[in-house]
Amino acid sequence: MSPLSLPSNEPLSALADGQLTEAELERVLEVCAHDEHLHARWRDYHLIGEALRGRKDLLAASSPEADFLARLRPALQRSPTLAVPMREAANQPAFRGRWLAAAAVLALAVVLASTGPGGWATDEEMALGEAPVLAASPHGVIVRDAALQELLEAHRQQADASVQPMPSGFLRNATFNTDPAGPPGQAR
Amino acid sequence: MRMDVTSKVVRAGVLAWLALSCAWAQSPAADATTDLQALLARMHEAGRSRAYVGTFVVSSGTHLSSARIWHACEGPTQVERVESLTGAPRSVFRHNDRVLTVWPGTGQVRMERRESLGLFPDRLRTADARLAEHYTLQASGQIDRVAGAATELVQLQPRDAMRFGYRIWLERQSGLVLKLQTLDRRGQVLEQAAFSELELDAPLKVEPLLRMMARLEAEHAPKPAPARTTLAAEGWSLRQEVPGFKALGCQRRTAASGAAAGLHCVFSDGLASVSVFLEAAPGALASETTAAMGATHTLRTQVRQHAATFVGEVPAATLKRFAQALERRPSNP
Repeated sequence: MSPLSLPSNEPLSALADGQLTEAELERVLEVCAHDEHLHARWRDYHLIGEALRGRKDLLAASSPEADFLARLRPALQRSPTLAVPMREAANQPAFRGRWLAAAAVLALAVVLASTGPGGWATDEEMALGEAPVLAASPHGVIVRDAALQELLEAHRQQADASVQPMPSGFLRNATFNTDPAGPPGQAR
Repeated sequence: MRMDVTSKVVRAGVLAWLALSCAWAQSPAADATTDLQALLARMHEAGRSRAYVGTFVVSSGTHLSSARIWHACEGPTQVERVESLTGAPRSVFRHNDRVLTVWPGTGQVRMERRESLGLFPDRLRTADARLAEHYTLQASGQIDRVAGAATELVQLQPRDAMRFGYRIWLERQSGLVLKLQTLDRRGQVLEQAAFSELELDAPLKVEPLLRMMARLEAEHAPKPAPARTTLAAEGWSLRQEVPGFKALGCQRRTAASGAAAGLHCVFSDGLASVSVFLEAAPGALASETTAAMGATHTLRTQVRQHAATFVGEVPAATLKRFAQALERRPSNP
C-alpha cells in the first residue's frame, strides 16, 4: 500500500466532523498511522471540536473545562487509538459509549490498515487473470455487479445461520452500497 | 500456570453434549474427533445460552464493518438484534429461525425463515463427525484478552488445500467466541471477526426485543418461506463430492417481484460454507470470472443453459472443484 499525502488539513477536519465516507476514512487512517505529526494534529482537532460542541456528557466530569481538558490530553497521548465520532453518533445522547466503541473499532482499523492483507485481489490472483468485480467510487467501495452483490448477500445470510459461530455473515462486506435505491433484490 | 486446555474443552464439551441429549460412541481412536466436536458444541452452546450485548467488527480485505449486537435467551427461545454501525443502516431481528431485516433508510422490510437449511443442533449431529478428517485442533495454551475478557486461543489447521484455517479465541468461562480469524495456507489473515466491546450475561430480556420485532412485522407483509428442494429434484448432481463438503439443503429463490430466480444450494464442511446459485440463462456467460474479497471467493461460469455462481469462504481452487463436479441431467435443458 503506497502512502498517500494529505496536502491540507481539510481531511482531518472532515474526519473530526464525522463527514468522511468509509473509504475516505480508511485512507486517512492509513496515513495517520504512519505520521506522528498528523496524529498530533488530529488530537488537537478532536479536543478543539469537543470543546466547541460543548459536550456536556464529556465535560460534566469536572466543573472547569480547562481542568477536564488538562486531564484528557495526557490520556489521549498515552492511547495509541484515534477517537472518531461516528456520523450518526454526533447527535446521539449516549455519545460516550459510542466514543469508546468507536475508539476500539478505530484501533483495529489502524492496526489492520498497516498490517492487513492485500486488497481486493492478491497480486497472484491478478497475475492469473482474476479481475476483481469490486470498484472504488466516490461513495466508497461497491460491487460493480449488482446481481453478484445480491448473491453474496444471500450466501452470507445462509452461511451465517447455518455454520459460523459468529454473526460474521451479517457484516461481510459488499453490502456497503450507499445506493439509496435500497436493499438487494429490489432493483429487479 | 499452564492450563490443560484440551481436557477442559473436552469436559465442557461433554456437558454440552449431554444437555443436547446427543448419544455418541467413544473409542480411543476417536479422541481427535471428540475434541473437535466438543469444541464446536461448546462454542455454539455458549452462543445460544448466554445473554450478551456487544460491538462486533469484521475486517475483510481492506474493508472494515461493525455492528452492535444484542442476544437474549430464555429456555429454547433465542432472540437477537443486530444494528449496522457502518455503511447503509440495517437492522436484523432473529427469533429462533425467523429473521426480519429492516433498512431504515429506505423503509424496506424482509422476513425470512431459515429452517430450510438446517440450524444447530441438527447440523452438528450430521456434518461434524467428519470434521476431524479435514481439520486438526491445536490448543495453544495461550490466554489473550479480547474485549476485556480472558480468552483461550485454539487453532484449527486444514488437512488439505480445500479449506482455510482458523484461529479462535473463546471466552474462558463460557466458551463464547470473541474473536475468529480466517487464515490462508501461508498463515495470512484473510478475515477477522471480533468483539471490540462485550457485556457477557447482560440483563437482557427476550420480551422487549420480541415486541420490537413484532411491531415491525405487523407493519409489513412477510415474504413467503422459500420452497425447499434438492439438487437432484432440480435436475442437477455433483459427479464427485468435493472433499468434506456435504449438501445442507437447497431452496428455490424468488425475486422481489415474486418471479422464480433460480436455485440456491449450500454446502458445508462443518466450518466453511459454499453457496451454489444456478439460474437459467442461455449463453449468458462467455467465460469464467472470479473475484476475491478477504476470505470470500466467487466464481461464475456457464453450465449448459445455466449461469452458475459459486460463493464461499474457501480457496478459489475449491470453487473450481465444485464447478467441475457440477453436471446437468442430460434430459434437462
